[in-house]
Amino acid sequence: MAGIDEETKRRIDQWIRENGRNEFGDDPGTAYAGGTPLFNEMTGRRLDKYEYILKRHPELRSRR
Amino acid sequence: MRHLVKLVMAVALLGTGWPLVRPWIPSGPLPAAVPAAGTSAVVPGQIVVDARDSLSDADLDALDRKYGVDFRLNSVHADDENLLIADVTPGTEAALLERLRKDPAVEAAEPMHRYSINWTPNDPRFKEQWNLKLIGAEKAWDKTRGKGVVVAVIDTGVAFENDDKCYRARDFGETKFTKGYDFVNDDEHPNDDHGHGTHVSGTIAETTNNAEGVAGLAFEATIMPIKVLNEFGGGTSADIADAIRWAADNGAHIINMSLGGSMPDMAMRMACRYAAKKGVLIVCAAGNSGGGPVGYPAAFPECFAVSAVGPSGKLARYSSVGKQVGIAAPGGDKSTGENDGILQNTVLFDTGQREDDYFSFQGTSMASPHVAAAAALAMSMGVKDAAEVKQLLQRAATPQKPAEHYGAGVLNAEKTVALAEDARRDSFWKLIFSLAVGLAGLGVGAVRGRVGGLLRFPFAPLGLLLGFWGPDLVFHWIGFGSPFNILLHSALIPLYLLWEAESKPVYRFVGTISLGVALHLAWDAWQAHAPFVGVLPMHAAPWLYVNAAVGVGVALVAWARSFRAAD
Repeated sequence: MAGIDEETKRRIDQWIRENGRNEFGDDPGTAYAGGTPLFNEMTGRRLDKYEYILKRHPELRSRR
Repeated sequence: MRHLVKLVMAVALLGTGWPLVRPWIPSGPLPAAVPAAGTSAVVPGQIVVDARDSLSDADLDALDRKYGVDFRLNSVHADDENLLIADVTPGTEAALLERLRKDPAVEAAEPMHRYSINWTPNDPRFKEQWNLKLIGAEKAWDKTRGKGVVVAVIDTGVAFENDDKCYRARDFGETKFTKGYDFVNDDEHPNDDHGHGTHVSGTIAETTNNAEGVAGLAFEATIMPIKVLNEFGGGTSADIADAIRWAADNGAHIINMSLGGSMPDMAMRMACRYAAKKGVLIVCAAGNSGGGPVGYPAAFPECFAVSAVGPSGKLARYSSVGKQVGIAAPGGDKSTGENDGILQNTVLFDTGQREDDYFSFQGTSMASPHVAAAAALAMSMGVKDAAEVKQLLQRAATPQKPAEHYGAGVLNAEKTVALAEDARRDSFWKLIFSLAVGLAGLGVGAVRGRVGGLLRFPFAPLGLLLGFWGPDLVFHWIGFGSPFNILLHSALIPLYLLWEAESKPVYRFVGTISLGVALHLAWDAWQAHAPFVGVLPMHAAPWLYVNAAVGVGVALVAWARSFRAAD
């Protein structure tokens, strides 16, 4: 995904592991309409996983 | 008196054999839940005239000249009764028909009607619902529309209430709802503040044939709205587990869950198991991971996972896949055009304003309710066992490979309903068979002492009934999909009983049980309807026929031993 560097992705993955989140950065018991928050059934658009997580957790964005 | 007894016995024995010969005898269908309905429409510019039979060709020519119309025979077979048709200027039919009806040479004059066998709803945008045509909805509707079946939609709620805060979506005016629950806000008003749940419910039971919008597949079914997802489309596994149990305890026959997550959750699994044990069919969207694995709860064995296809019947790119997929259904594929989504009424709040309109969505969320609705159609035909309905859906599916993508194939509602009708007829004839055996037993009992030998009251009717009904009685208890049904549908139990038998009455009893089991297996093989079809990795017929033959063998051995054994 353009705009999200590898370091940020690594930080997000680590944050998910350390905080026991599900693969989308939400609480592990979270369920979604259609089974994933990354696919919009109204528009057919698919979001990048990291883009979705950063929208909800902007504090994880890379600080340069 | 003896003649009367003989007559009763003859009728009863004839009844006993009837189910076995019946498949060769052509007959009409049992009364359907909905009488076969047709539609007719007046054909503009055409009329039908039944002229007097005595008119000659010259008289018919005179008729042409008199009305300035070219009357012609409807077919080569119509010359005896002078059944004529004619093309006229559209708009002039009524006046011409009025003149013709007064003509003594004419017996009847009517506008031309075109009849269609299939009932078609008058919803103006039904023609855009390629998905319903793909699965044969119109032919299914000739037999049933889902009446009497409750489908719980566990989702974002449904726009179904009308008060100062809530609003019923425009094409749900006559949709039937039963009491639901909102697990997000903990109240009894599970209204939709997202739009997803209403769209899903529309596919199942949107008000149909109301000259508005589009149709739902099982539009006479009842929706149980249950809200577990919030206005952003997210929710917790705890609420979903609660909702599944609540639906099962409050009369749902089918649960549709167009939701899920990537991680299994034990509480949700236990809730699914609870509902399945209560006989609820749980239909779930496989997920929209784009070729990734099936999500949960769809991947639980208690659930029926549905993948999605587009208008071509091919797997949509967004669909999840895996060995847990049970069946595929239309979910839309807007990559080939906006019209290739699934069109239903819903209420959206994207712009901050309430927007009640018809929207084209795509996803396995849209595929799952097609299957739930088709299951409702089957259940409304009288097939109540969830596992049996699941098997009917899979048997009826149009085969498509690979199984990881399509499961048993693409949903076929028309064939599902036809198979459900067959299954109901099967049960009906089994009941007749049992009644006939019972009557025969009474007859045998009445002349006890004169018949003697192999069949002696009460062992004969009891053994036959036990053998014939036993496997079905147990499978209704253990469930249609249990592997234990393989044992029940075999000659192993009669063989074991033969092994243990020691006295004359027991040998006779075992003989009649074994004959009952053999008849049951032969019947199931004949009807291609065995409860372990999905369990055994082979076609069921050879197993059933071989075991039926062994059952007959066991019966013969048991009776032979009864002659030699002491009482």
